[in-house]
Amino acid sequence: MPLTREDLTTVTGIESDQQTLEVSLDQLKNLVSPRAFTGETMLLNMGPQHPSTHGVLRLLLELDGETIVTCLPDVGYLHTGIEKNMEAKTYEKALVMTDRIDYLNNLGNNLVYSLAIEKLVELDVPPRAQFIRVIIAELQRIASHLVWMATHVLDMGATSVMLYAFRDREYILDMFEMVSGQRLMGSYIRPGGVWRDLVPEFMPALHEFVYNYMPYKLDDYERLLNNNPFWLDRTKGIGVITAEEAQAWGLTGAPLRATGINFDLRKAEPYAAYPELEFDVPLAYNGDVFDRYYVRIQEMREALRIIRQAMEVLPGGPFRSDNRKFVPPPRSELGHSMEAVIHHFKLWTEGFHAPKGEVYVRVESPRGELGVYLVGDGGPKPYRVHWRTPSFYNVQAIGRFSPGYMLADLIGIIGSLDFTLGDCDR
Amino acid sequence: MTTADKLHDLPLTETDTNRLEMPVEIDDLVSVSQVLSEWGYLAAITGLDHGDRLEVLYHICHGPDVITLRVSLDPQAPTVDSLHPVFPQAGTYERELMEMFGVEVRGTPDRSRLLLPDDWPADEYPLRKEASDD
Repeated sequence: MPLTREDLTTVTGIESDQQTLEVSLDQLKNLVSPRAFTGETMLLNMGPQHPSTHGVLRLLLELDGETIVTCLPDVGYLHTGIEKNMEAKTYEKALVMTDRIDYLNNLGNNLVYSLAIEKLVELDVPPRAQFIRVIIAELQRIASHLVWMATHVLDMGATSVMLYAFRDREYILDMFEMVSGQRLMGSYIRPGGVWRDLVPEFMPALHEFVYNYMPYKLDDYERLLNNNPFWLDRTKGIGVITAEEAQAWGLTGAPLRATGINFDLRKAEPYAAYPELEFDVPLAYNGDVFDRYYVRIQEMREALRIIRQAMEVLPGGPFRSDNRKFVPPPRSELGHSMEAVIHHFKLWTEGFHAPKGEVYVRVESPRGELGVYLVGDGGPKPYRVHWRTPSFYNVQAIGRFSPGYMLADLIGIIGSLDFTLGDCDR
Repeated sequence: MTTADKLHDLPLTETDTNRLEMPVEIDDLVSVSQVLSEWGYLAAITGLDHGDRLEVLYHICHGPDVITLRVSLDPQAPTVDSLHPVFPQAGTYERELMEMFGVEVRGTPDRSRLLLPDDWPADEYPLRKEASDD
């Protein structure tokens, strides 16, 4: 039976206005196979409320039985115009928006934005702040990977792992609350260093976490999953991405490293204190869902190793640059130094002026290459901030790499690519 | 001719450590990208509104190096060719470029809205400087 316009309206959810309908039909003609219009294959709308789409993602699927023929990801439901909004704020005030881009990598977003500003205005960061940044970034990586594992494994039917992973993430969020006062939107990493020094109770908590707690929990996860026949059945050989295609499609992070390509920006273009720390880049070679799981588990172990080293060599000294042109003075100086009051007033009203220039700074976020293209025009506000977010690419990869697999496998492929839609839509 | 030789012939200028840049004419964009596609991957396409001209920046990366191709466009009728045949992923960024800056991308496979809502006015491009409240 041929597909009618009305059927397509029901599927695409586009209002039955004649004009938009004509357009939507024409657009679909190039994107799905001709068989969809004769009724041989079925169009199915998955999302944006589907629980395993990890946020608000809509997939328009063309199915032949249960096999995926075409998969069209539709994003934009979480678009909040952050790039435009940042142009209307001063450099320092725009920082709070970066927390809201990738809601599982809040402090990592602070880091890349701060690095971009520091490069633009040529601001030095004291060594203590560099090491604190590494500790925070690696804790954030573990926290993000725990949420990925919780939701990914839950999608595949294992509830217990989800409960354990969220329990363990809570320890990290408690530590973030200690240092920044906030569990999620910390805005802790600022241009020139970090917001304040580590509080006394932070180091004991961190020590307990990286030595006595998390390594054993990671062992538990691997015991639960590595030899679990259901888990292996549903992940091995599913969603295979070859090394060539991963590169052609601009994939970074674990999806790329699971194909055997050794690319990690912490090694390739080191930032913060990473050059002084020793760690390995975990690799796998099959490029399937299981290998992406394996790479991320090993990344959590490496993150613990990095934190242990950083704790040992954490230097003393200032936690923030004392360049008063860009960094506000500490509160203690405001009572007795007129100069400090002037700096404070100037920085929090007008903000600092960054020179004309363009910088592109990249870091390795838990999801891959996170870049910021920052343009300064000599004024106190960024002229343009463009975010190169890894999820933007990882989402599009579903459309390329899921056809040929079963509908049930799609959920595993979505989970293994580990994107957040906030990161994708900005 | 190897890829290294071809890269050597490009008029690249170093703007920063590991950051290279070159201006590209609209007509040369696809051929230059073809050369660079043997070397790296397309990381991002950035639109920039300078008021009197629009710029489209193509960031192509390999290891620590980023090569930025800079295309200048007339804001009245900005048009570039699609890089979809060279980089399969480019279409997504081109959709963003079309709706946010009003740049016409010739030959891109999917022309529908990516991030903006379906009822967004057709001639308003939010990331252009003129689209400000203040």
